[in-house]
Amino acid sequence: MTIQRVFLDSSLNSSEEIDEILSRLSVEPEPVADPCVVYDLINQADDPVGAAKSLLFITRNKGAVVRPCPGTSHYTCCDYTILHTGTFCTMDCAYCILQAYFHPPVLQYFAGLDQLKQPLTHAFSQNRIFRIGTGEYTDSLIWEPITPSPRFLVNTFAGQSNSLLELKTKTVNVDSLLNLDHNRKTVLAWSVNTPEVIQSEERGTTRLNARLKAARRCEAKGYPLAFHFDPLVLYDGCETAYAQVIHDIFSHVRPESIVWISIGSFRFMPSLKPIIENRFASSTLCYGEFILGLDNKMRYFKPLRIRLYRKLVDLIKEYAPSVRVYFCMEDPEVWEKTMGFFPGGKGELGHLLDRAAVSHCRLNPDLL
Amino acid sequence: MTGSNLLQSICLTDIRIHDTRFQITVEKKDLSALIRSIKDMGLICPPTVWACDGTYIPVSGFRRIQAVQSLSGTKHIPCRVMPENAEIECAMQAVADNAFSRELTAAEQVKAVQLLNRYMDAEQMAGQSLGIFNRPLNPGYISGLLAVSTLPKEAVGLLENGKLSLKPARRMAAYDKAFIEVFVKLFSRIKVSSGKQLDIITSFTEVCKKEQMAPGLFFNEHEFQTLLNLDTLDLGQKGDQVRQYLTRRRFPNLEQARQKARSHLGRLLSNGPFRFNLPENFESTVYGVSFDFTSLDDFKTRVRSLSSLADHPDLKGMLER
Repeated sequence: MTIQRVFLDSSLNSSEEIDEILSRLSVEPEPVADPCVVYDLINQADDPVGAAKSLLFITRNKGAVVRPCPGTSHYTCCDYTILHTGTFCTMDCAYCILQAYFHPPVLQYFAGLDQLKQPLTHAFSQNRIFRIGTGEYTDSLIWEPITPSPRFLVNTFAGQSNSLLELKTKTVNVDSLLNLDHNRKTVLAWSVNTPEVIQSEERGTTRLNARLKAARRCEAKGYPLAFHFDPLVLYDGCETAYAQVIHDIFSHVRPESIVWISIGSFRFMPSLKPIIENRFASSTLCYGEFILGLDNKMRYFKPLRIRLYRKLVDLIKEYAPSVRVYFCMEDPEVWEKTMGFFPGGKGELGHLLDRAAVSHCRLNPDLL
Repeated sequence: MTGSNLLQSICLTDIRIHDTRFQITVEKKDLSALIRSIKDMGLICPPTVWACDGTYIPVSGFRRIQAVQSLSGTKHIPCRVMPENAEIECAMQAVADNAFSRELTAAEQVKAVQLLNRYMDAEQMAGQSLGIFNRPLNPGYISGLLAVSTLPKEAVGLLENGKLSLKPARRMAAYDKAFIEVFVKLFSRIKVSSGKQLDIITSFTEVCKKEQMAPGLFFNEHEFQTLLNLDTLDLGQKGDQVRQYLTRRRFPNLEQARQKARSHLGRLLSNGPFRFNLPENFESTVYGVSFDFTSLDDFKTRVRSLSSLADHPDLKGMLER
C-alpha cells in the first residue's frame, strides 16, 4: 500500500525526524490542527479500513508510551510490554484485529523520539526483565523504510541489559538495521504462515520465503530471531502445510538463533466477522468451526486447536529441542495436552520467556 | 388530507378496480361477511378513489368496492374522490388508511414503502412516518424495507403468509440471486420462527462458502431434499430438522462432541435425579452437578447415589476430551 496523503499534526515542531519522514515519502504534508479532520475523512470512505491504509497521520502519542499487554481474560498471557510507537498497518490481512479494534482505524506515526527516551530509561533502570515490542498495534517494520524509529530503538536498547526489544513484522524491511551495533538486545521476529494463507488472506505482505531469507540475513548479523505462528488457520491440508513451514524455517536459520516461537490460532472479536466478509469476499476464514470462547472471542473448537498444536509443537521440538515454544492466549488444558505442562503460576509463562531472553540476549541473569 | 377529497356517488363501471397501484393490503378472497354487512347496514366507510383521466383508480377500500360490485342492481358507490393533482396524497392516504386502523403486516410495510418510494426517498418517508404509518420509522428501517421490496414476489408472498419474517428477509436481500432463489424455495417448504430463519440463512450460506458449493447444488443434495420431503413431519418439524442438519454440517466436530456428551448424559441421568451442567462448547473444563433434597435423610441418600456415579463409565466417558 502506498501512502497517498500525509497529515501533519500542526502542534508538532519541525524536527530532523519529521524532515526525514517527509523526504522519504515525497508527499506534500497537509497540516491539521484537529485530528477529527483525519478521522472524518476515513469514516466517510466507503471502506474506512482500506482508505486508512493510504493516509498517514504524523502526530504525537498522547497516551502511555510503555504499557503492559492487555492480554485477555481466562487465557494465559505472556506478560509482554508494549511500546506504543504507532498504530495500524499498510498491509492488509483479512484476519487482522486492528480492522475492528480502532474506531476509526488510523495509520499514525508517533513522532518525537525524545518522547520514547524517558519511559524507556525508566524501564531500563528497574530490577526486572522487560520483553518489549512495538508490534502489537502496528507492524514494527513497515516504518523502517520511512522513519528513523526502528534504528533509534535498536541503538537505544543496545546500551542496557535488562530489556529486550522485539520487532515483529511480515515485511523484509531490515536493510537499515543490519549494520547497527545491536548488542543482541533486539530480537527480529517474523509472523509466519503457510504460503496458501499468505496468498489468500494477507494482501501486501511478503512471501514466506522472502521473510525467511530476511531472517537469515539478520541471523548473519548476529540478531536473535523469533517466529510467531499466529494466527494458525485450519483448513484441509493445513497440518502438512504448517509442517512444511517449520521445515522451511529450520532450513534457513539455526535453532540456536531462535529465542522463542509462539503459537496461536485465529481468534477474533465477533465484530470482526462482518468486516472480513465485506472486505475479503472470497475469504473462507470466518467459516471455520468457531465457538465463543470464555473471553467472548471466537476461537476454533478446542479439540481442533489441540490437534494442530500437538503436531506443530512435536515437530518444532524435533528440529529444535531447546527452543522455547509457547502459546499466545491459551488455557491450561491446551498447555497440558500439547506441552505436557502448564505455566499456571502468576507470571510463570513470563518468567520462562524472560529466561530465554536472558540467555539469548545477554540480559542480566541476576534479574531473573 | 387535502380538503378537496369530496364525497361523490361514482358509477361502478368508472372505477378501474384492477388498477392496484395504491393497494398495499393482501387480497382476501372471501368477501361474504363484508357483503352481508353492506346489505344489512350499508356502506359505513366510503372508499377513496383518485380521479384520473376521466376514470377512478381505487386508493383504499378495494374490498368494499368489490363487495358493492357484487351486489346485484347496484350501479353506484359513494366514494371520497381525490383530485387529479393529488397522486402523492393518494399514496400517503392508501398507507395511512390501513396503518391508522390496525398495525401493518410485514408484507404491507414492504408494499407501503415501495409505493411511497415512487414519490419520496427513505429520509423523506421517515420525516413523515408518524402521519403516514402511525409510528415513527427511521431511515435505516425504511431502507431495509425497500431492500426487501427488491426480492422476488414469491419472497414477499412468504412474508404475507408468515413463512418469512422481516429481519431474515432483510438479510436475504443482501445476497445474490442464486442464494435468494434457494431461500425462497426453502422457506416455502418449512415454517420456523424468525430467529431460526436467521440461523438457517447464516448456516446455509456459510456451509456453501466453506465448502465452495453453489447454493442450488447444496439445496438439491439428496440428504437435504430427503428432509424436506418427509411426509411424516409438519412444516415446523421440517424446519427444525433442516436447522439441525445445517448446524451439523456447519460444525461437524462440535456437534459430534455434543452428541457424544448427550449419550453419556442420558445414561448418567437414569441413575439419579441429578442435573449436570456441561461446559459451553467444551471450551472450559468446568462441569457442574446439582440435585434437590427434602430432608437430611434424602440428602444422605442422594449424596451416596452421587458418589456412586464416580465409577460410572459414562461419567468417565463424558469427561474424556
